[in-house]
Amino acid sequence: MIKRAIIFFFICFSAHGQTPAIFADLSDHLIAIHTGFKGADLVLFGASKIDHDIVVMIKGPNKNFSIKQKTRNYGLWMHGNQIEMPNIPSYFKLASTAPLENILTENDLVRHQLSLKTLALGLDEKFRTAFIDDMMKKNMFLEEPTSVDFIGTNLFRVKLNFPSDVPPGIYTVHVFLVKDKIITDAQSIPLHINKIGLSADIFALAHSEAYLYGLFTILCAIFFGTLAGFILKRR
Amino acid sequence: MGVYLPIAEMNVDVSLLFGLGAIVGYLAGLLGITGGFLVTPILIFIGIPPPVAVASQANQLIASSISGSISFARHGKVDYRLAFVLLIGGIMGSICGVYIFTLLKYYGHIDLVIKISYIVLLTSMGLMIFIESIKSLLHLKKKRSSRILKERFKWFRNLPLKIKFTRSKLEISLLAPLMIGFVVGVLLSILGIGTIVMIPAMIYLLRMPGSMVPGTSLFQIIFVACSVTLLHAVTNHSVDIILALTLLLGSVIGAPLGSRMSQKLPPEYLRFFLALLLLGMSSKLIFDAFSTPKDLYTIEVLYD
Repeated sequence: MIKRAIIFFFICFSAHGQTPAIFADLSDHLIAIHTGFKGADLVLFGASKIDHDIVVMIKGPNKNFSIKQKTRNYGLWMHGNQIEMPNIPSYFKLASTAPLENILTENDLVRHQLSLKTLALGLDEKFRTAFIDDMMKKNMFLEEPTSVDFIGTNLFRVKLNFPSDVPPGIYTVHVFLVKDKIITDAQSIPLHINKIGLSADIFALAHSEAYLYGLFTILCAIFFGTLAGFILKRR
Repeated sequence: MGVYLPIAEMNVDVSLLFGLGAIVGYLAGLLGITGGFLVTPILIFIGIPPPVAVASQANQLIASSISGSISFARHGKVDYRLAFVLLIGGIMGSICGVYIFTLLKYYGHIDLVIKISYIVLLTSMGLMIFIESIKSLLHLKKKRSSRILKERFKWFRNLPLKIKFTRSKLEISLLAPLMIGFVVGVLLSILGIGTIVMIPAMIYLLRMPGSMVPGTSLFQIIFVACSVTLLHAVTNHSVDIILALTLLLGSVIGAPLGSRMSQKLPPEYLRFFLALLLLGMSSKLIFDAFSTPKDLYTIEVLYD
């Protein structure tokens, strides 16, 4: 299916007459989180001018995080004060055709927050490192230079992976075209990661009808508890 | 096989949750303890956000305590009158507990208080029960000493407002179980542990017959678990019904097995087993508190 999409895309692209500098799309614009969701793989594919570098950045919905440092007091390890971090992307992935420092200027990296190093977190160095390490361990932050593959001279593709605990919301895929350390073109593609079906209904009910949902969970528990108590009578 | 938890927002292996539920259910049936001190840390360890772990655990507790207490009730091992008194104390205690919790949070020592109280409570309870059960297992106790035991904490049972608890063959002050219920309610809302303190208190302070203890404790915890579930569902939206149902299916199978086992095992063995559990958990807590942690930082998503 992906292959067919690429071919289709290629036909459209070549029929287009005037060549856009870059054009990319995702193999799917919606990731549905259903009850058996185990994570998802997507392909970002596109075409660009020859001899350019590609940088792909994906950002997930912003969330508020808290970070606490453990400190030793009277020999006991315990949590110190909580530092709150508002509006931090909950998912960040960066892919490029070459290491970022080789293809972009420091200025652009900072301005577009194009790397884990330049991502604005509003934290001092030690908390910043701890936060990024933790997010990388959870597969939510990832920087993969050279993970953009070229097919032939001007077609490219990147494999994207979203783990099962990926936060639902609207993601944005930014694709940058780079030549001689200058960004010459850019494109943004939205990606929706939504709960679908039962898991969506449960989440919605738990938030909009909290009392009803709470009573329902209690009734469920009472029902199963009573059932089990009587069914599993001795022997 | 994995299942996606809609509130925790992650995929978890079903058999893991099912097994965990079965173990907790078994313990609930066997000893009448709710096992929150075992399950909640394990759920958090596999990556479930702490508010979701605590709330969903309370929900599955309703089911396992119902199915457990049905088995006990069938053998006449539930003292409803005593459970009711404990329950009233528990509700008053949990209201005070919430207030103390906010006060401690305000003064910023909540983390230290929780950690130290956990260690002190689990260790002292564990040691106390351990020594008692070893003594009775080795038949070190003589008839004379059992009379001394009967005298112990007599003043507590002899407080004013004496009433009869026929099922437990007790004639003690109404205030005694009320106070125990109260203290457990306070502990439950601050520390999230309750039955582990209530059971030794019922055995050693009230001198309740050992066979009546688990059933009565389980029966009164049904109501506490219901109110905790509703409270979490309304204030934090953190009850994950899929998580609770999976744990629950395991626990409703485990609970009757545990309670059948408890009919066969003499109470000394039950106490010994409980003591081992407590001491094991407390030594783990002490070890964790003093050894350098693997991750020096804790990072969480804040829920609004």
